[in-house]
Amino acid sequence: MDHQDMTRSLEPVPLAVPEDFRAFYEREHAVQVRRAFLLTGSNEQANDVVHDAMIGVLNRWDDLDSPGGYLNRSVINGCRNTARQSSSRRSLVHALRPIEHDEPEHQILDDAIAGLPFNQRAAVVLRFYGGWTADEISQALDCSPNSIGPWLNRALDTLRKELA
Amino acid sequence: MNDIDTTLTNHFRTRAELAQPMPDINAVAHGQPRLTMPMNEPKESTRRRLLAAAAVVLIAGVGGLFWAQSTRNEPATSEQPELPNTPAPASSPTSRQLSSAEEFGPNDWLVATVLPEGVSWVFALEPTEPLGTIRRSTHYEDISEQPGGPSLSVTLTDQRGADGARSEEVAGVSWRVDDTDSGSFWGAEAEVGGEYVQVQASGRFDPAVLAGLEVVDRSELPTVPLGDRSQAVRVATASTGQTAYYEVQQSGDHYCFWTSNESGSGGGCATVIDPDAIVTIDGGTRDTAYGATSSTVAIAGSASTEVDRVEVEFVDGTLSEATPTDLSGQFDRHFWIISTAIEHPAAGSDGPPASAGNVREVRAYSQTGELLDAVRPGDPGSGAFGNF
Repeated sequence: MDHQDMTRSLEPVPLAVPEDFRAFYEREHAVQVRRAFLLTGSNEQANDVVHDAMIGVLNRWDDLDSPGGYLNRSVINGCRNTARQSSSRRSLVHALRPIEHDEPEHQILDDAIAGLPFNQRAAVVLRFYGGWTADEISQALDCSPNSIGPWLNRALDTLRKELA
Repeated sequence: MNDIDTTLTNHFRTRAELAQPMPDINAVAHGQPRLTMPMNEPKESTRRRLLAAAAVVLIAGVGGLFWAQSTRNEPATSEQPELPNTPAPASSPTSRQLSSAEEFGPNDWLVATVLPEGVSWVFALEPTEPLGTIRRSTHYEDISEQPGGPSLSVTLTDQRGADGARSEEVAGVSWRVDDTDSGSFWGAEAEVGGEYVQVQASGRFDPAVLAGLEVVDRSELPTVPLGDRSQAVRVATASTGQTAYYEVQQSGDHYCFWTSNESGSGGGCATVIDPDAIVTIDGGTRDTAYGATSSTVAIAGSASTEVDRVEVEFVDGTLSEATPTDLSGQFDRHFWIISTAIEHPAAGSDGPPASAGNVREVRAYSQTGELLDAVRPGDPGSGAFGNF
């Protein structure tokens, strides 16, 4: 008889993960959460997205030629799904505003970036926070590299108008 | 004004500093959901909705079966522990600083007396482990602020953890320290008296936390440890289908759950129930004979007192219902449990995969038959992860 306990059980027995995955996790986790935070505006959602993506990577660890690329795509997709599920743009804006004495320019940008369509927002974050090239962005967004330039241009036009 | 490129780069760098990475490789390794605490909640709600802290209880198999059969239909077995105010443990007359010469006794626990700012005692945990494994842990969190705030756990165990990145001696004890995660999280482990002391904390490595560890007797802990089934009270029995019952242990805002049916029992610890939730799914077990396409499942959860009937729709379309109760009379919520046999649509020749879900939806009805709420595993606030 196979007996499974489905209760949420929280602190685990000693780990049984490959050492190279552990190193991968330690290297990637914080970076991915920061990126996801910029895309979702929520620490909880960002950590959840990266956590789920890491589970997916671990499950395929032996089969992945490029776990970093797979993780990037998983996290971006997770952020996209989260954005779809977000009840409103307002929640994104509020989640990004815990700082007192915040500069008005940052607040304006928060609102403007949160209002961008997801692909434009992702392109802007990956380009200006991650320093990614159009090819790298297109791989993470699973789209044509030719789409990235127009998305960036439209996003920057919008942001310039908001800041003007 | 800077050009837009520079403006955005600076903006994202500033905003990225607000990110709070909360690594949990243990949960990843087990394919479990991350511990979570919703943001932007009022203080008390945030505290109560903290879904999980850290701990495991696995109580299953033959031993559970015998226990279930021998105690079925017995009344609740013990009084609920008092819920004291929970300040950080202070040095007591019998406490002693952890030293390399320490020999731990069966009632010895480790507490932290130097805590990260804003952190306070949350709970102690001593889950029943297989094969006599020792695991006693004390947990500290910032329960008044946003999630991702500082936290600390101290564990005494006979199971060695991961190797640290470097060695450091603190107050005469040699530690293996891993603080490579950019100051967001650190861990340390020391072998003392043939056992292992493991410390995990958020923030930058602080040797003062290690220097402040003290050994105390179990009786000196601020709250009764979770995970002790003798402290659990029975809150519900199955009202239809197979015989099953549900037990709960509470310490502060945290709960342990045990479900039992004719196949055995299982449980989990350190969960917080959302007091505002109409219905939650909190625990369950599944037993499947090798190669079988059907399983015996026990599913349990809680409900607000306005709920008169809970209906569970399983993945094969089976409908079962339960009447939420609090047989102990000690809680503000009611609890329910259902035990039944279900078929697994996705079962292969070896039976259903371990990840196969069991519950499609749980619906809560009022006394007048009004549908009050319906939750699916994986829904925010449902209490259950996606493949429950």
